[in-house]
Amino acid sequence: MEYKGDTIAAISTPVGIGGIAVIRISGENSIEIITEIFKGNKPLKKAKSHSVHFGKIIENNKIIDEVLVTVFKTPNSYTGEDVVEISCHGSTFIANQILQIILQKARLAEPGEFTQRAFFNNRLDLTQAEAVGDLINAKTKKSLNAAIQQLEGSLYEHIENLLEKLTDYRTLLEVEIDFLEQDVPDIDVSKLENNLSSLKQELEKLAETGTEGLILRDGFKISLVGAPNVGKSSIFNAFLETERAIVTPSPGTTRDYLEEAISLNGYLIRIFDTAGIHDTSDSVEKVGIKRSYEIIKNSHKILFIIDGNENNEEFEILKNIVGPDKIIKVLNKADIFSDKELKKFRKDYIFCSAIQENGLKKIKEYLIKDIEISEEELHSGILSNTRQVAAVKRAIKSIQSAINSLENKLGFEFTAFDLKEASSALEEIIGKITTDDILNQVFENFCIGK
Amino acid sequence: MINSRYDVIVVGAGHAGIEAALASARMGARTLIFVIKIETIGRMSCNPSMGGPAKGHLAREIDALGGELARSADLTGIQFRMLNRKKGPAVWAPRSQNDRTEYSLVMRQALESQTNLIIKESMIDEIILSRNSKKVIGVKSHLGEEYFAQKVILANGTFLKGKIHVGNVSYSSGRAGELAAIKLSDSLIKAGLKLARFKTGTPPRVDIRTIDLKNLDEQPGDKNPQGFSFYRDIKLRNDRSCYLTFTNSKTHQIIKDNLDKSALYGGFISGVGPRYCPSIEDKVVKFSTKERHQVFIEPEGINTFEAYVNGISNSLPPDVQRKMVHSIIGLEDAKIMRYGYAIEYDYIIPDEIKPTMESKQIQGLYLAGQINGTSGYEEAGAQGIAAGINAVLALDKKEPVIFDRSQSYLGVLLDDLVTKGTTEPYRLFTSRAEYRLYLRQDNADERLMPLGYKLGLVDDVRWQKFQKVKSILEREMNFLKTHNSISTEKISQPTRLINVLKRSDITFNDLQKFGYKIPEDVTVDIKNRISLQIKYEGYLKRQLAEIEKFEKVEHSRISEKINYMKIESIAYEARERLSKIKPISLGQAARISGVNRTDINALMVYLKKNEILKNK
Repeated sequence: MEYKGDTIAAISTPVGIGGIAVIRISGENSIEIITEIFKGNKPLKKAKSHSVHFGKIIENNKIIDEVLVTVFKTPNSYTGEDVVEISCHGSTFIANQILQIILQKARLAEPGEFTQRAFFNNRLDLTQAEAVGDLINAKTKKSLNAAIQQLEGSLYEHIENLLEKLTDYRTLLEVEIDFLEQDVPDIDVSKLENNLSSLKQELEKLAETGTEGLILRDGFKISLVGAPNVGKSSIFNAFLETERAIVTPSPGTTRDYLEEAISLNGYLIRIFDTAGIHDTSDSVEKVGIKRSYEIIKNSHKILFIIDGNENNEEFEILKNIVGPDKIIKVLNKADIFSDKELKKFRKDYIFCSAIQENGLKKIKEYLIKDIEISEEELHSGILSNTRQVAAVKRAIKSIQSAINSLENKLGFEFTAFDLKEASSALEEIIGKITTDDILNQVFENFCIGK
Repeated sequence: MINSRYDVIVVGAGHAGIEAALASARMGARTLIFVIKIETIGRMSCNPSMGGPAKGHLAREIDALGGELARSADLTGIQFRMLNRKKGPAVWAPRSQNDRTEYSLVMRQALESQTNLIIKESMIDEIILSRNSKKVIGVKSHLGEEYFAQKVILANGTFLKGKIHVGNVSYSSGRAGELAAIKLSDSLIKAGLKLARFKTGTPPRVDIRTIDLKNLDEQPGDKNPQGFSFYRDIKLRNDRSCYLTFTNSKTHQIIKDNLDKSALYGGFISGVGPRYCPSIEDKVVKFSTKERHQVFIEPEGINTFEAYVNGISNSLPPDVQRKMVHSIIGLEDAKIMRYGYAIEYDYIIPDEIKPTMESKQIQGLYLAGQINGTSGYEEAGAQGIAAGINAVLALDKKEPVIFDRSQSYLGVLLDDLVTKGTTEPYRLFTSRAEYRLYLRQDNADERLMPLGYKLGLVDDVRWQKFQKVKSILEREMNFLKTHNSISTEKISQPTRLINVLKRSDITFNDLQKFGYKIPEDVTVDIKNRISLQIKYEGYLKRQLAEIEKFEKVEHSRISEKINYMKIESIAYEARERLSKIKPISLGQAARISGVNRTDINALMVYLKKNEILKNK
């Protein structure tokens, strides 16, 4: 074992989602610590690597939960250390209770510390490390896919491809600078410009997947906005298909906001029920409305809900906050209107009925169409965190600067500088530095020397 | 028997040895330099030319530090050109053709007139070590005499077991017609140094009167020549041309038909040659689709008719060399004066040395020049001056000078050598420098002269001239920043002159049309420097930001004494590499091949834990 740290533990599944929570313990004493609190058929100490055991977590002779325990032994674990994973029932309360017991003997892991250990023990390269981070946080099926895809290195491959092209272009420039007295072909500047433009386009496409990657990871956020009593909370509840928000006939009950997550066609959707954005003199309500603004601004889409009375004033406020493109107009309680009455809403509104079975069908269809990521995109690798997106954006900027330098005839050393910057940005994503590639390419492809 | 005591002994008086000895003597150390034959001091053993991309930069850096190479090149030049002048202002590269014999003489004079410096003709057979073999204490000559000094700088060039090949004939030699140093290699191996073998080659030389020059492309010197040296006011001689011709299918056929007779292809040579300077045999074999290769005719000097036929270095037998030369346009009747040859020699694998050029194993022993596996006069000279400086600083128990990659090509060269090593004779290219936009030939004085002056290598006269130029630069820059243009057709609103100059279609001299009266002391050089600063400000700023980032890691110095093998969080291969290289900074550690980011992270964690990391 290469990297030795103390024993750390944390709940490694997101809080509040799914039927099972996983607590992970990594480090020298992990097996010993769990042995003391776990009662199964066999003593855990003698367990083989990669074996699963059914039993109970017990504290002070009291059963806390029935669990499955998986043992991974060094070096064949995620972190490279001895690792135990406890799968318990999904309530936050239970998982926390078990964690508290473990933390009497171990230290709470810092965010990313498992991955860092894996990284330090050469269990992962940098891209893979991040993807595993995502894998742990994978909340729904699609998200899991993206994480796995990345693990398999499709992003890595894609970036390497782009880097190869960059290296080719940089080689051309270096030959021109360092071997000018040699009998080498002149650079076809307009061809190089075109090549750089299409490379830039490829990167822009990749950068766009970043938004999708982030959605895959963090969820697609929608907010419900509307006048009091139009049925926001009913819609919210209908989405959850449970009764979590409190529905009351008196307006303004949803003072701050509520958030819940659902899985829609495998995508993680986070729904926010806001306090509304109407004017109010109630100071408590004012605070809530201020918070609503922030949530609305951060949402990918806003469902603007009416119940038959067109609410133009509030719509205008909303449009001013987020612009018209993010807003989906929804007519709730469509079941109580006659066809004739519905006619005037048909053009602009999606109809729904929170109280009818399948009453949200149309909204759901609309949302799915908006979120869907093509399989092809998933296969060519997508960016799934802000660091990666930022790196690609830097590469794009540098390539644009390179194109400008060629157009303005600044001198090839400046173009080369820009392209080197672009290369470094991309290399950062795959955590790899290529140094002598350029000179090697020069010597392979050009007859250099007097 | 003890012959004499010195502070510093330099073995070899080629381009590295000269700079080492002069730097040492000028810094006040009693210095002794050995040369196998006095007449060969400062011999240009390859083509009679100095500079070019990266190499010209090095020459100017050596000059800014107070070295001799650029001065001699300027004094003995017969043609000067600024390469890349039309292409990129940040990679302009001065180059010269030189009189080979004069160059040697000027260097000999420089050594002879240097106080504190003694020249001795002798071959050195052995280095003498202290009883525990950890320290060098002197050298022993072929005549059995012993010389003692605390510091010994080896600058033997290609002389270590040098072996010349012409066809199937081979003989022991340092350069053509000169003795090789045979015994010293064994002494170094015995001392624990690791040697390997490289090869390089030269082309034949012909009588220029027997070349039909009128059918060849003439390449004259620049109209307004610029030399290499700063503030020496040398009047440049610039009246000779080079000529360009090409090989052809007939030439290539002759070579192909006789490949088995070439020393290189006949299997007589085991050393590795440089890819950037291939023999004509290599060019024809490896790039067989290329219909012709360039051949430059370079005059060897003012007082001779000998010309260097650059581009056809080879190790073919004499009759084939004749046939090959005669197949080239213009050379049909050329008389060969010297035949080309390949030379193999021992070099010391450069992971042996520290960035100060001192051996890691043997205290007080410094290695400089081709002995470290490099090629080129400028590369050798640069290492020589670095070794000379650090030998004397160590003698005086002062902090060493570490040249880093962000401040000079010299730094790039030394860091590459000691960090990455080399698998072929190492030559500097501008593309090896990450901070190329800053490491320019025009600002070598600004980058290195303060150091040269501080070390006592730059005299007061030159220093004053440099200060003057700096103040003019500052004054004019300030003026342009604070004064407006007059309105003209092109620019209707009064605009700061600096912003006028930013426009791509406006040159420094154009500023006169916008109301700027150029003071008389503003030279062409100053105009160029200001234009470059202003026109490329954005790029230069980005480069400086990178340098700042680089220096943070680079100045995180780490101790030589770390036992890497014990840091288990670092991959085994990386531990081995780190133990061997013994990096002096976190930055250098990260550049070692086989050491990846995870290893550096682990190293950082280890260092932090043990608080060995000293931020300078």
